[in-house]
Amino acid sequence: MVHLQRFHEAYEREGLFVYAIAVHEDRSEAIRLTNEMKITYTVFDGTGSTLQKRYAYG
Amino acid sequence: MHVSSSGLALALANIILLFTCVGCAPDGSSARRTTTRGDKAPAPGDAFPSFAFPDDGGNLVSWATEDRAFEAVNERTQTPAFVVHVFQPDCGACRDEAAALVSLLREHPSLRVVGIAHRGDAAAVAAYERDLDVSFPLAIATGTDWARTWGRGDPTYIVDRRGRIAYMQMGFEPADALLWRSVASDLEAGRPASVSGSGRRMLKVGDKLPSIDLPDLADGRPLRLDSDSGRLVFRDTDGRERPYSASIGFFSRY
Repeated sequence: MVHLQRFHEAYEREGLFVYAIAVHEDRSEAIRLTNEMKITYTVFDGTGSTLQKRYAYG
Repeated sequence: MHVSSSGLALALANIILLFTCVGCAPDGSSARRTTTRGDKAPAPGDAFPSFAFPDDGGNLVSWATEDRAFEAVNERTQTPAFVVHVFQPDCGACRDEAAALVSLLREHPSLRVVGIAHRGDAAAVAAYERDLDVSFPLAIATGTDWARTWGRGDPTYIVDRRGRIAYMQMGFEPADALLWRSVASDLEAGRPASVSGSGRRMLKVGDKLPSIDLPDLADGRPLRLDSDSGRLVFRDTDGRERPYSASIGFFSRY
């Protein structure tokens, strides 16, 4: 997440959209960690979503 | 980075999404494809390869392609249906799947099930076994070539008595257990499996990036990344829309 923050800062103006889809059982903890890492790009809340069920494994 | 062509950008967006978050592998229902690393992706009909990996106590758990024998915990057996649960210890869906496999094994005791961790160390695997009261052996393949080729997507393989993959799936949903039961019954009866996969598959290079309609993590307000029109347009929580040329996205478990 932190590495992609640098991508976001460097290339957002050139048209690159950086985002994360959070998958975490504790939403408040996910928010806390996101803030702690100083993430400013978009973070979707994907926990329990169809998108998570369909694609979030690996 | 300079991107200007929307077509090229969308292709790039797909590639990067795959690379960063979901890997690439087939559902097995179509022709063989390659993964992002260029390895051949496993598919139904393939011979399941031999392996020998230690469990968390250092005892070897193995499968031999030559005589289709599974060996673990002082037992060497051949089975009409050998189920391979490839997992990561910190993966919630994997945990749900392990519990479902314990039930499957109870109903189909002729099966043999093995779990193979493609990530995580012995301590994490021991905790997984203890937390879930897993009744089948768990081996650790973390860091191996096998894990890179056969572990992508937290797959489940059901191997028939010929040593071929009869069924495979990526990830896990509870309804998959119904398919396992069907496949197990077919294989126990000596019939070909009537289903070879769950139909669910991971994104691959060239796929269209799905549009994303999810709330903002911080404030719960709706966000949308629209790729339906062939362009990437992000609608922020304030309703403003902005076009983008490319994207990098990933799932984060933190």
